[in-house]
Amino acid sequence: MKKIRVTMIVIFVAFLALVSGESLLMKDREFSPNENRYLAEPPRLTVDNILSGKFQDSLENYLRDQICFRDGWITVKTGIQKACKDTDIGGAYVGKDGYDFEKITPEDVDEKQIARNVKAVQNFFAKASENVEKDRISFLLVPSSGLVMADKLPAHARLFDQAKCIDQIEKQMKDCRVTDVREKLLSHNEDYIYYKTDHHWTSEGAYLAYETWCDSTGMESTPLADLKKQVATKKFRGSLYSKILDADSAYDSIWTYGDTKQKAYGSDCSLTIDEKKQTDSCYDTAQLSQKDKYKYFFGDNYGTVQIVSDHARHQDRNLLVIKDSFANTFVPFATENYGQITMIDLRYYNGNVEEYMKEHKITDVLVLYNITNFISDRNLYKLVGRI
Amino acid sequence: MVFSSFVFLLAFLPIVLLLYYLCPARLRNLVLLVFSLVFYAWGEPVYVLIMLFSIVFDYANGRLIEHFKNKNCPGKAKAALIVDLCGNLAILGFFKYTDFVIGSINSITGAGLSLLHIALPIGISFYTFQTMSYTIDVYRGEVAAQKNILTFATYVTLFPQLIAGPIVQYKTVEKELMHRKVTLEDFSEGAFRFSVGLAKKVLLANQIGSLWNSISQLNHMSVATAWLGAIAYSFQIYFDFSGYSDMAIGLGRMFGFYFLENFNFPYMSKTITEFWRRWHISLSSWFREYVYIPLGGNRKGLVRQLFNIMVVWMLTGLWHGANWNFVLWGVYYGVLLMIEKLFLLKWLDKLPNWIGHIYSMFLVVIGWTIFAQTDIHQLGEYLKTMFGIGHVAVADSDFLYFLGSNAVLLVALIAASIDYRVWMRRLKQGKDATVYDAIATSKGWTIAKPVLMVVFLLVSFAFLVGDSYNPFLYFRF
Repeated sequence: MKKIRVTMIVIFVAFLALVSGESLLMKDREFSPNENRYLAEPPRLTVDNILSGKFQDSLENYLRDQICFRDGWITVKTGIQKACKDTDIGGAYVGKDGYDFEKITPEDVDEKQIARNVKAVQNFFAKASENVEKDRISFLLVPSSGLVMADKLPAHARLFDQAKCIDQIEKQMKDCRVTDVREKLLSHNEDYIYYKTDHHWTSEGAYLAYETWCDSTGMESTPLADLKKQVATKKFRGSLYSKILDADSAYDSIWTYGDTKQKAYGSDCSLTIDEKKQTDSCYDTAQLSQKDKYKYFFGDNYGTVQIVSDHARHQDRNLLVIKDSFANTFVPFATENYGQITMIDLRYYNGNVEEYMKEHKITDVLVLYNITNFISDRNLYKLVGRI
Repeated sequence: MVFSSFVFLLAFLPIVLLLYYLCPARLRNLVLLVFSLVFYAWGEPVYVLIMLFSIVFDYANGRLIEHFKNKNCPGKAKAALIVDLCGNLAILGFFKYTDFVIGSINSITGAGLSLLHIALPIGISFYTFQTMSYTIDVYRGEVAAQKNILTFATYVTLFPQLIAGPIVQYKTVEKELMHRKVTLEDFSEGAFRFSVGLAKKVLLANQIGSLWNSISQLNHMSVATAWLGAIAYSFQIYFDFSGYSDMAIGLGRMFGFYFLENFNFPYMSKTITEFWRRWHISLSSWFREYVYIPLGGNRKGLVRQLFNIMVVWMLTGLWHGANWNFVLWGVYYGVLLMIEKLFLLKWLDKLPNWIGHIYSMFLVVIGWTIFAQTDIHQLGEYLKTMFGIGHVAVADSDFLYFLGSNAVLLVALIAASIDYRVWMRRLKQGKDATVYDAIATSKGWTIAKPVLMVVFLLVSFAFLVGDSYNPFLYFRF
């Protein structure tokens, strides 16, 4: 009995000593790629900070962020939760066949924000249609994977009603063509059109939407079946993986599409990023060795990206895309149709969109957002005038 | 500071254990005192002054009461006690109930007085009750006044039980405050108990707490979801609080203190009377000893006894929080206990056990529903949903999702609420005692504890790192 007691004391003391000692000795990590955020730094010790409790809170966050084997602990937790059939882990849903999903519940939907965003786009279209034909203004909402791949969701998973949201928003859009891609995507939901471990659609999903958009605006596009595809990486674990941190998680592949096996659409253009940086492809190979490999498309999101293509079907047309990150897989295909494209990401752009359109002689407009992003976006107000 | 924080687990606890055992015995109270003050000041860097005042105030009154008693001046001793009680109640009343009183006056008279917005000092309800028990016991002659103010301060501030109990009465630890030793058994059992408490808090209470959190935010819910939510909260509050008590008792033992048990498998109860003998025992004993019995208890006739029960339960409710729902909750239990006392206990006694279990748990879950909702209007809506009043569905897909993704957890919670010793006793008394012998003499038990301890610590840490969700429920009191 004495042996057991000594063993227990040793276990307890050694456990605390090892975890705290190792965490203390280990060098601090500055950034966690999995969580896509900077980790807490040691707090500053001042009398004010102590009296206000700020020091105490910061120290707790610091210890939690810098504890040894941080990702290992979380992986253990996820393993146990999965073994217990819990499908709601780290703020995401663990679905079937390796598919993970964003968890956006009805309570997360802010009707007032939706109304503000709809109003902003309505006003923008009204203004834009003074200089651009209405037929050349498009509005495209990308459904999230929870709607299209619903059969892969955990049973009875709670999600906001995307279909109702999309219907409600599309109905209010005037002065534009509304491209609804739901039917097309749903008819292909057996295919690899959304990533399993990331909330984005794949290039195949984006191409289906692109085809639908071309059809609705009377433009030509090559049928998907005639395209040649090319793998960029087979080792992609995206944003949903980062939330769940599941050791057994699937890997996603990133594919690109083109007419020939050698060249993907958009790999032969000249790009100007934020009016400074020049490059010659929509694809940034360097990102494939980083954690967030979705950045392979354009390297990141920027305020403005101007793309000039010398082999487009309509060299004289100039498209403006107001967008979120879902457009990054979509726009390379549009380089086949437009001599010039500008992508504006309102999260990083603070100029006047209307003036930009006049200055650059924009002939076509596309507003493309994922529905989940659209209803929660807080930058759409920038569409109408300077802030 | 709370026990399930990394500051406590990775810094505070290792350091205090190290220094405590490095120091000679005569300095150990000082080590505990200094660290307990740091522990408290960590969360309340300003309000620690109130606690220091309480220490000096109650220490002085304890000495005075004893002094007058020795001088044979019972009147003066009584006066000193009354001063002490008034002082303690004034502190508690001011910090905890001022805004409640102003708010209530406003809503009754429409006076529109402005609230003071006083932040509640952590643990004030616990430590004022402890110090009052001390002076009352000195007055009653049950304990001698503590001469050494550092020893007394160590008792008041003792960090294991400081902010969420159990309410340790001075007489329980009087001897240990001055002479205590820690055996191998004390430390190993204390460490085990701490690990069990941590696991209860982190793996059970926090996890089921997030279910209650989701459900309580719903705008619409079905009857089944409302019940699932209420049951989730019932489990959360039990494992949160009893886990905290386990950690406190375990820590106490690692420093040589024996605190009394605070919970005894309350969800095994067959009556509400039994429930309150098993739930938050240190609080019920306090009210029995210092309010109910002094009021006359059951010795002055049935009417007076019923009155006493009602007084005690209004106060118990109010002790839990400065809000009308807590008063309602206290009255609810007061009425139930009176009904049981009048006739129901006799009836229940004749019925099969399972009816008693269902009856008690049904009422306890409703009790926690009242307890959980500080907004009386929302409470009304929630209770209506639970009983299907208005346009509510019996069950919906939300319910199926919540049930499905928490099924394993719910089974674990039920399994952890059962007192297996009862089953063992039944086995022992049964006709075939061989099963009992096989279990009781199994060698597996000796290695089970260290193995369980490792598992509890590892998994609790994994969940603590993974969960940003880590609030302590018993903070408000």
